[in-house]
Amino acid sequence: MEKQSLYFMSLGTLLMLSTVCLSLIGDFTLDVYVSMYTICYFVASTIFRPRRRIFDFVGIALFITFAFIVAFRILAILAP
Amino acid sequence: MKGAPTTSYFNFGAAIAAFGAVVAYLSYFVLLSVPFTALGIACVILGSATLTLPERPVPRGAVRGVIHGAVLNVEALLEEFDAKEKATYMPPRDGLAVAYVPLADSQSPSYESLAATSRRLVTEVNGVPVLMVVPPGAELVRANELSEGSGIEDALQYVLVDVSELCSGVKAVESGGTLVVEMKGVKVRTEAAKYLRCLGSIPASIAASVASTVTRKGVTLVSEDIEGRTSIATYRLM
Repeated sequence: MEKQSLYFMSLGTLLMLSTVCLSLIGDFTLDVYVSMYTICYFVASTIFRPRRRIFDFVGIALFITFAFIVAFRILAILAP
Repeated sequence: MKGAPTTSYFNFGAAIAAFGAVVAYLSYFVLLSVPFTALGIACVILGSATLTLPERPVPRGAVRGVIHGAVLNVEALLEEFDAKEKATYMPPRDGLAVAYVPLADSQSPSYESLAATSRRLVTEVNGVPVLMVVPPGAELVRANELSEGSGIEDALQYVLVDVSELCSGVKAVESGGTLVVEMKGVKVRTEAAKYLRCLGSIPASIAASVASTVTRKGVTLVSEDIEGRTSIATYRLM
């Protein structure tokens, strides 16, 4: 199986597993899901290193979102 | 004639992303369900990631055909000059990496003398006639702009596994003036006997070009053991 297909299938499996596991474990907010998706995305991208025809806008968007989520969490702790 | 590919990453990705967007929107505003909204977002991520993948990442037949063509050209030259000695791969000069094959049975010319020699098809270095060939790895090295700062193993992994997909895994160990490279899952073979003898197998030859570029040293293939789809090449760094 070619690397691109493996990457696609692995990413899909990781994302679906995260969704199912988090929903079974408990009531999490949306930012927890998105943080998990970000981790899954970068894990799959690092392992398979797929070639892309355009720049990785998904990774950039997820990273920015993740940074905002972390920043808001820290703010919530520092200034409740 | 083969038909069009049945899988289109672009169409598939767009469909999944659109489906995910609808699911996320409806789940968030109508169902008020976080897990289903998250499921929709997951579909959007998966679909968007798929959109960035090339339709045909590696036209394998074409790449291998081009490489074989280059190998056969070099093989014809080696046959013509009846070359028998091991080649020395030199780091790029003016952007092009070349290999020098001594045409006489003698000690390999030194790196300095090879680096200073003129770029002609046949030239003489320290009284030894040498044949200059452009190995298939030269263009791969140039196209991927490898630099001296890259680690050998990373550069080999990038060129042999990620870019050309000639093998599935690479390990490299450098000790003193010796470099050992293990290439697993080699996907390309050549029957060109002179090429194999002087420049090594295709992946070993490309690995030598990469190593000479990264280390900025002359690289000579000392030996190569091929077992099934695994090849272990030993090089001497000058």
